[in-house]
Amino acid sequence: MPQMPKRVKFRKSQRGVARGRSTKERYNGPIRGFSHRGNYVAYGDYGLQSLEGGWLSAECIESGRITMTRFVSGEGRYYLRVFPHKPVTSIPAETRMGKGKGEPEYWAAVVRPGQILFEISGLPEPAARDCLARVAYKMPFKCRLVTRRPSV
Amino acid sequence: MATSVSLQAQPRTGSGSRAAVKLRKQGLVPAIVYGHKEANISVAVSAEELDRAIRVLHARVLDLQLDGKKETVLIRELQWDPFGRTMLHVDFARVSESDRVRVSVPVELRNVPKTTGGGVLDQPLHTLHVECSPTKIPEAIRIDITNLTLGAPIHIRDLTLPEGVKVLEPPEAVVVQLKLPGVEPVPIAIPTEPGTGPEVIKKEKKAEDEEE
Repeated sequence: MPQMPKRVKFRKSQRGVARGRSTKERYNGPIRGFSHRGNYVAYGDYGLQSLEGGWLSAECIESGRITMTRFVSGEGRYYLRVFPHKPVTSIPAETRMGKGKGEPEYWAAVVRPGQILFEISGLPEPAARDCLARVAYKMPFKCRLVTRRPSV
Repeated sequence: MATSVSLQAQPRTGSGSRAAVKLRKQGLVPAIVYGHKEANISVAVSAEELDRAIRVLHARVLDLQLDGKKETVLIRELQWDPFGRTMLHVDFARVSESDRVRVSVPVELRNVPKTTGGGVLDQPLHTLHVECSPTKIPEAIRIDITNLTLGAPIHIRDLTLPEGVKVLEPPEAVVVQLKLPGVEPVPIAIPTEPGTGPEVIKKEKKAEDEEE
């Protein structure tokens, strides 16, 4: 099952500006700024870094998680670095304007360029690269593999 | 042991983000030198040389050549761009041989366990905070995990450290261990049907209000 918060203060949230990559999907322009937190590999040896911004649905995170589980089973460990905190609402098709905000449809994580989405450890680099490439294929953003930063 | 590398620095006059951007376009990295109760000096160093010193030579202590003067400095802080590709700014702290410095040193695992017993390698600590002389900063703390077994983790107290190096983490902290897969918490899965979702936190009504 996709992830979602256990308890929330409010069922619906304001939308913000991020909606999608393509101009057609954008509402008020793409998500602004870069990820200034969660932008380096912290737990594993290799990470998958998003190069674009937008909403990452809980289903996408779950599909990436399943891919990693199947790949690393019994060998390495993986880490999820994003969580879908944001409820996204929608109104049914062929509904007249008005009558208030729609009902929560799905949960999403707000991702800014530079955010590390997944991390992996305990695997050699070729295997980690192969695993994260499979995960990247399922992501709605362009991604790249990153390693740990040199410690100073 | 981290090698001491020589780096050419030039003083810079402008301050602020615009001046820093101009410097970076010229292939320089803005930096500052401070410490030892002397005046702070704003400098710029070659991005290429600095990158080589950090990534290739794993240098921690540098000999900074500034206006014909040599200063021994420690790389105290390094700022990266959001993608972690380029270095934006460096802090150099003046050090002398008699000082004790606190730095983080990476942990390197050597070999593979003989028998895993169905366990998965788990490394909670990838870097260790150590206190030592600036000339004796180890390049890495190397751990041989050939004899690592399930249920017998390697703690800080079990490590063989170079002379004069003190680890600041608690001695009982686990550095590396073999863990059974599936012990880690599985992401929360809440069955959802249309109309149901997470519990909404509501304000509790005061007992007094109810009585009234």
